[in-house]
Amino acid sequence: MLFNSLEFLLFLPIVFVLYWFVFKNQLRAQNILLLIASYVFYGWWDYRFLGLILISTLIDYFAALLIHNSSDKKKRKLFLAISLIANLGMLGFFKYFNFFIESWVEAWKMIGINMHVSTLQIILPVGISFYTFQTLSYTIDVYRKQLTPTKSFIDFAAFVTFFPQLVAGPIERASHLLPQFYIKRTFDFENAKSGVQLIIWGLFKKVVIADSCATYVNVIFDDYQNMNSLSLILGSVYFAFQIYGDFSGYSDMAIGLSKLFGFDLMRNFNYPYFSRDIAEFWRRWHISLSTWFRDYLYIPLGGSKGNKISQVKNVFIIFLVSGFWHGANWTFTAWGFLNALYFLPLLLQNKNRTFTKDIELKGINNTFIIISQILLTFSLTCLAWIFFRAKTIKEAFDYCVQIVLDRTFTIDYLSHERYNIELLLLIFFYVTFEWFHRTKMNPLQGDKFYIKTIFVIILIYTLGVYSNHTSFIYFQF
Amino acid sequence: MKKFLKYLFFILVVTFATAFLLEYIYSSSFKNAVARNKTRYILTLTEKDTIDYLFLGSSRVENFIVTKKIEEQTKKRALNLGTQGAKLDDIYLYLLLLKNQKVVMNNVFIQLDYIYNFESNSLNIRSQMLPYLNQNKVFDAYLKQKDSNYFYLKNIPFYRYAINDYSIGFREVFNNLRSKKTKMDFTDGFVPVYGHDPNSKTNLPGKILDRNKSYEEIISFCKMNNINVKFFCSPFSSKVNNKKYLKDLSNKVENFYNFSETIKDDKKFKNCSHLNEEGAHEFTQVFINSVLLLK
Repeated sequence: MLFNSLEFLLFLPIVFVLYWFVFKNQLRAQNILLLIASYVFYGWWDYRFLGLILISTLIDYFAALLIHNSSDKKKRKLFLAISLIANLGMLGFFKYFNFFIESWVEAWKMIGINMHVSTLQIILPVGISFYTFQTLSYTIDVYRKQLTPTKSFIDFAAFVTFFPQLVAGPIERASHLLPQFYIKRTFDFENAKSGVQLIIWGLFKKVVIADSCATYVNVIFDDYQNMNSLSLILGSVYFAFQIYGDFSGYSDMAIGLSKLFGFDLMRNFNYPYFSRDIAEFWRRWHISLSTWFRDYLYIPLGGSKGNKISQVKNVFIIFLVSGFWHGANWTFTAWGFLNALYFLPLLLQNKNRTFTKDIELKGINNTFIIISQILLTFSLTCLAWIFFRAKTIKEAFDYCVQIVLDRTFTIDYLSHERYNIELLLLIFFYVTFEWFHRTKMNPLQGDKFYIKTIFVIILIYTLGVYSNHTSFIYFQF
Repeated sequence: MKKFLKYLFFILVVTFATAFLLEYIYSSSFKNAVARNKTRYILTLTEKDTIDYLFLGSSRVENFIVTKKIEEQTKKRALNLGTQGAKLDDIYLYLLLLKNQKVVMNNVFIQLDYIYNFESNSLNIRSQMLPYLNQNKVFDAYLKQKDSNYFYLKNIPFYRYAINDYSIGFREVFNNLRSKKTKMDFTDGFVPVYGHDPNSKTNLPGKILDRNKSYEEIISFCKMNNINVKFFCSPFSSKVNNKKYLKDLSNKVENFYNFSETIKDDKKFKNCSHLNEEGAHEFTQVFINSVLLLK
């Protein structure tokens, strides 16, 4: 079920009414309702994968209890290993099995040995990377004695499958989300209002920004050999806004929906394209994944402790794994590698935490420097996005080479009656709107809320793309 | 909760009011618009319009029949209503529409090829008629019969515009409001294409459909209204495979002129299914000589 679908438009009010009116003040009943609703929501795609979530839930529920109840270090490690192997095993099988087989065959082929190994017809369960990481955080935190496991299977299962963030995050930490299932939730007007704002704003980002960009991105990337330099550059810029609008739009809707049910999810995006360097970009982009890797991979590896070589190694590991997390294709790894390269100079000069405060423009010189830093960071990000979007690494390189060699900078008329200028104007107004609201959780907050809401609703109607109903990009990860 | 429900009510009111308002603005803009497609152009025709030679079909009519040439040589009114992607069902709709506008059609020529195998209609033409759904009884009856979404299209404000935003959305409304004309001359209808792609290849279907419902509807409609209808197949280049299909087609269709191999020089084709401007002129001359002047 998609958030921007008619089914969800019926599903949400039913669950909301049952939750706040029928089961009001009945914590257990509310949690059971959320659990059932989440299973219905997920099963709408493919009910067969409900079994997979259930297995993952059962393994982690019992593994955490066994870890907690055991004082023997070896046994604790064993139970943690069972949880890790089971979860990562399922993720590896469904997401990476064919990729490894094909890469293995390709590697032998390069030295002249042809192997005939069959791949399997594997369907990737929606959101498997997200819920796997969420449940892993639970067992690891219990193992680290940072969290007491829950005895209630219902609470835990509801935490694992919580429908607003089940399929595309934010990837919640058990220590943050799970305790919210234990306490009585009271309806709070301001919280719910803020939730509605986030839903509207998220929907705008999805159907107006991301889906408009998608129509151009597809035309440009599918026919990149025949595009001029300017169109190719614009193609990567459009993709930057497509993936941002798509993913952050989903996150906003997820956070907004959670607020309607009295839950608080972590912020996943903080205006990432206003970052002044790559380190800041990664503190603002997909925050729930970046911090997950920081806490469960980077710090255990030694983090920023140790000598520079060790730090560089850790940075490359975390970026490569992060790239690989996105999908079974070398393009994602290349994207991670590029980001690691961008990060390297900052790390070597100890400048990776230069920009931790909000942007303040003071004077012409300062403004010029900050805007230049933002534009440079955005350009580097766009270059990396080419590798993320391309079907193969060769295609990504060819795309970049074509930008350099073509050297024609006229505005192309794209097929399907699309003019670049229309989309550029839309993006310009969108960026300007975000810029003036960059200190807020969402741009609809604050003064003139009603006017802004009406305006955004009109834009959703008039500029939204509905003819080519597209799914969210991050569902595939 | 009461406060929230009030707030939600406000959002819903804004949402519905916006839909109604936009529905009104969009519909008005289309109602008063200059013709920007052939469907809209038909709606501007009246009983005063007499068309001696009417050509219907897909882009294989639109890019092929040079109506001005026909008018010059026959001294009769000709109109090319070929539309990119049109199928037989769309042609039937155009006939119904022309009849409803009381246009006098003396001779109708319908281009027929692999479109005989399609019983669907063109999304493009379907979206072009949606702005007039509530004003035109032909469109209303047609969509009621053929579109499973009819109820939503008719009754949910702005729905028809939202789901067809690519053709009747904001961009088109904006163009309507500033009365922007297209490059096409609708009184003529011919749209030339240029150039030649030597690598173009295509296959005609291996099998022909037993019956085509829209074809039968066209035949009975023309009989009932005493319209003289003839079918023809426009030229294909030598790189088209399965030409046996066209023989099967000529066995099925009465009054069928097969011009599929009339143009021998592949350089007169933009691609293997479409003539370029030079080819279109040559083909039109062949058509005039072998069909119109022999009548």
